[in-house]
Amino acid sequence: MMLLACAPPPDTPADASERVSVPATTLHMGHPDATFGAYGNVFKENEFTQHDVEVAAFEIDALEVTGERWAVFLYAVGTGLAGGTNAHYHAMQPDTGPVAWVSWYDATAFCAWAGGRLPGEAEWELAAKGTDDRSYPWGEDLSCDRAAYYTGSTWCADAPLPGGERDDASPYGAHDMAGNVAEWVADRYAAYGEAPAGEDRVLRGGGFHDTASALRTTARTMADPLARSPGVGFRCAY
Amino acid sequence: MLLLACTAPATDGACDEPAAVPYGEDADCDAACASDPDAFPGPCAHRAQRDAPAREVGPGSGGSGGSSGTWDGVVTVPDGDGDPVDRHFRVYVPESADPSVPAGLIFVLGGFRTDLYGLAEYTGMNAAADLGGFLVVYGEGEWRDYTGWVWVWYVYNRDFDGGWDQNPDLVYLSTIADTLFGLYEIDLSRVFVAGHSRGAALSVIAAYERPDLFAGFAAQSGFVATNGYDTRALDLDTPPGRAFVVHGTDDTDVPVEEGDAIAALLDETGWDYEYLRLEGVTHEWQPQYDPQLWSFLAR
Repeated sequence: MMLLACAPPPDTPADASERVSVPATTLHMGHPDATFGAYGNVFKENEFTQHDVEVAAFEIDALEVTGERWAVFLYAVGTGLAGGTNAHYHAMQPDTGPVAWVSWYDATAFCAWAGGRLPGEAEWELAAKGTDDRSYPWGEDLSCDRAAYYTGSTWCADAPLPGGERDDASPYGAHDMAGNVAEWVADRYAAYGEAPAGEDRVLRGGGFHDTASALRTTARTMADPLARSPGVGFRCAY
Repeated sequence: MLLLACTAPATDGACDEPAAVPYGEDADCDAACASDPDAFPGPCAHRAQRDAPAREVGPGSGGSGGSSGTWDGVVTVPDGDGDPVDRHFRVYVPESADPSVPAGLIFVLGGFRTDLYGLAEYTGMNAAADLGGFLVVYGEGEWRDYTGWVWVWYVYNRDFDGGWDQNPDLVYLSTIADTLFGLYEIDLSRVFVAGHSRGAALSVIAAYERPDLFAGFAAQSGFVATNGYDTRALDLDTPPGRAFVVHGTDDTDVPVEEGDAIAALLDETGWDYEYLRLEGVTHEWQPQYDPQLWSFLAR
């Protein structure tokens, strides 16, 4: 165990992960409509005001980091990784499904080991929606055929599902950017136009316990970087 | 050969994790991360998590045997006239709530038009509970002919027999709490009540009337002046708790001045609170702030 821990990262699924390329462009970040209805809003005020962000070219994992990749990571870095005491930690996921129960710190450590980094919030939004203002990575219609989420009356799935098996590709070919597991991104949370005031990190995309509103490409929430959840995972950028 | 490859390099001025040594074993990374937490993302993230203080936990209720996931219950409590009535509730227990460690609890109360079965979707609180490892109870007011048939919380003293402290909704909430205290290891110092609209008004009343039960409240689109409860609250000796207030400036159902009145009451009574006065927002729960709401109340 220790021998392997000290070896350079092997040729692992992390290294061989399928990635998609996102060219440099101007992202219209946030929701374009600043008008709230009295009831039934599907967008939230922290998605305003839409603003332009110049994003350099990057690559991003086509799928959320899987339990298989996570297991290789743990094996490579040894058991010294600060995993906390949560009994569910890295133990609940099918190998081909996304890893969950990972903190922001876990995700950051993984991506650094894999030769990448957590995507910035603007990079994540660009990878999800491209250069238009679509509600979901594939367009406008949401159903359990497209994503794992909470419909309001039932859950599409009891746990996050293996990626790449639904008709859910973003304009750049990334999958599961809506539902399944919400994804950590690198940024500290702040309202647009303001500086971060705390330690909370941004979560994007919504998870299998989240409702439709949270799955939209511009939806954003936040959490303590130490928090772990069955509905939160991540992907890396490079 | 392999052993040599596994020997951690002596302090050489370079942070070599994780390529050369496992996370946490290179003293050079200690120094680098201490001076700049963003210097080496992986090694510094590892250290930040390893060295984070343990979450504070209060005394537990001692309960055990409750199931995880979503389940529904019913309690028989007095109505506004003192007659018994069955009132329902829904509980969400996330997998992240460790049964051996006292977990927080929050009541979530809807407004006129949201029954308890739609509250999880409307508020999004289940996902926040997953992250925070706390339990959620969704409740609803009595189904009464008020302004048409709606779910009505007792937020006007004229609507029930007795004084403010004899509010039938307080009996409803405390009866549910007692049930859950026996089924789960609840952190008795982290029991909160949150609501939207009329449910928010009741959350203020509950927190001020029952500080022995609730450590604080969250009020979204709520009120405290219209029903005259601010006057009552000022006369109480309620020890200050924590509160999280959200109100939109374009709320035409409950004007934002009511949110301002809640903030004024909190100021006058010395509470620790956060007030999100959101520009352009209408009469809607804002689920994107649920994790922040919980973090603030439970810290």
